[in-house]
Amino acid sequence: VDELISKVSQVRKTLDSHFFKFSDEVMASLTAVLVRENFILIGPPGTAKTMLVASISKLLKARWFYRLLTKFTEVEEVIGPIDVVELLKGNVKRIYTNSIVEADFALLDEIFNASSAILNTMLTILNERVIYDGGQIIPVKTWTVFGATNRIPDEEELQALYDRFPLRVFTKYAQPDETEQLIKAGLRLRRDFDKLTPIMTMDEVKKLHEYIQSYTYENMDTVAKHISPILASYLDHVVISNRTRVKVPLYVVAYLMVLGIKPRDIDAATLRAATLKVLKYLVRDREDLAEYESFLAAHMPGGLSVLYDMVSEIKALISNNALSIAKEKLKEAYELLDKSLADPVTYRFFQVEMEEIKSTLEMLKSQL
Amino acid sequence: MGSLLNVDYNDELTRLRVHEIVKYFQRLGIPLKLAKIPNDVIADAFYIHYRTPVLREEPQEEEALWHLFLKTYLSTEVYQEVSKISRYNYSVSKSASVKTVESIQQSPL
Repeated sequence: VDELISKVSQVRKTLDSHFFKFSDEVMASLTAVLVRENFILIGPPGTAKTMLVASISKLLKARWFYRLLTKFTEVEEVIGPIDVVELLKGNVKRIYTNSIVEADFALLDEIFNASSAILNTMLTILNERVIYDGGQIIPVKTWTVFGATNRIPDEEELQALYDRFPLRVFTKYAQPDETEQLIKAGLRLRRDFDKLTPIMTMDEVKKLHEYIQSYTYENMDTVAKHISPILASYLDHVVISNRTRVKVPLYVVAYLMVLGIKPRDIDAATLRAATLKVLKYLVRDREDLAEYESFLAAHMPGGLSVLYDMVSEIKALISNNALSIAKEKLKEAYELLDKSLADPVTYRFFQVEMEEIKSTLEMLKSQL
Repeated sequence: MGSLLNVDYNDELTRLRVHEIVKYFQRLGIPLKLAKIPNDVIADAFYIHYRTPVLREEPQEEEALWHLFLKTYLSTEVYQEVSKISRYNYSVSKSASVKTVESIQQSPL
């Protein structure tokens, strides 16, 4: 298991090094793969959604299926065409080769634009991994279905489909001042993509998936004890279905393994920290995402939530012209930041947030 | 507008804290008269315990009474004792703010 965890962590590091500011997308997609969950990327075109799935498929030596869905896309384009030779003999058979049925991963682009025939076929694939084709029930091998969309559906009839993607990440364009870094990372990815070699196989993914399940079932009481209070507080802000809540422990354990944390190193602190991070992938829309950011700021472990609070306090003091108190608070905040940076658990999970706090403090310092 | 100089009442974090306190009231089964208790008052009740409070020198007319209440409370021994454990402690500050808001609600003012 340790070897498998090292491998999946290596996959994550490889992806992180090739994509610019994509750590959430990478973490959530690999978590989805380990839990065998459906995962959706929501964001404008040109944010490397397809490239991410293509790269994961390469690194995991997986066969992947890609379709851009429109209202004119036919069911045959997804599940394969009818075999004409067999049809002439009077048999209705389908050719599943190179269709979603035979793929390890499927990326369905603009999934909510599909026709109702495809959407109904998709529902059974997402739920049961089967298709009802005429009188036959065909098992679908697809391990993880990735959805990509530019919009969250408002239509009532599409809600059922959206709910089948419990893990969600919102992608966005890089900031204008990040253009240089983006260009470099993008060019590196273009150059290296063909050279990406498999780090892990799908059989190994399946083994780790089984281990994650058995670990979670065996440690059910401990895992539930540490995850539940955070999840319960989060429910004050964001609606999460019972079905998804039950699966949160699996997501958390998988998240820890993607991060490279071995089972023997899983404890209360790592479980809580991973829960806080996983909650980000359970939001419904961008409004929920803003709610999550505030929730995280208020509930982060160690001194981090205090640090966020201090930043807010210093901003208030500056705007009210109480500069001498603001300076004192800033000094306190820097001391606390140093302590937090020295805490290995906090640093491992909240490195990005700490960097953000650091740059905000620098900005406030220059203002003062 | 609240009574503390060191609180940004429009901040998302402040809004979230207020929301959580309101939910906490509901969970405890204590009726909260939101018409009588504005969000800024709930934020003040929380932040006087969580942060070292910095009161505005000149409160607005409509907040004069609340300002006086805070000033009086901050000078009591009870507050001194509570603040020793509530500073930067979220759950203690939340409980203390519930008590504070409850006492305002129960006052005839």
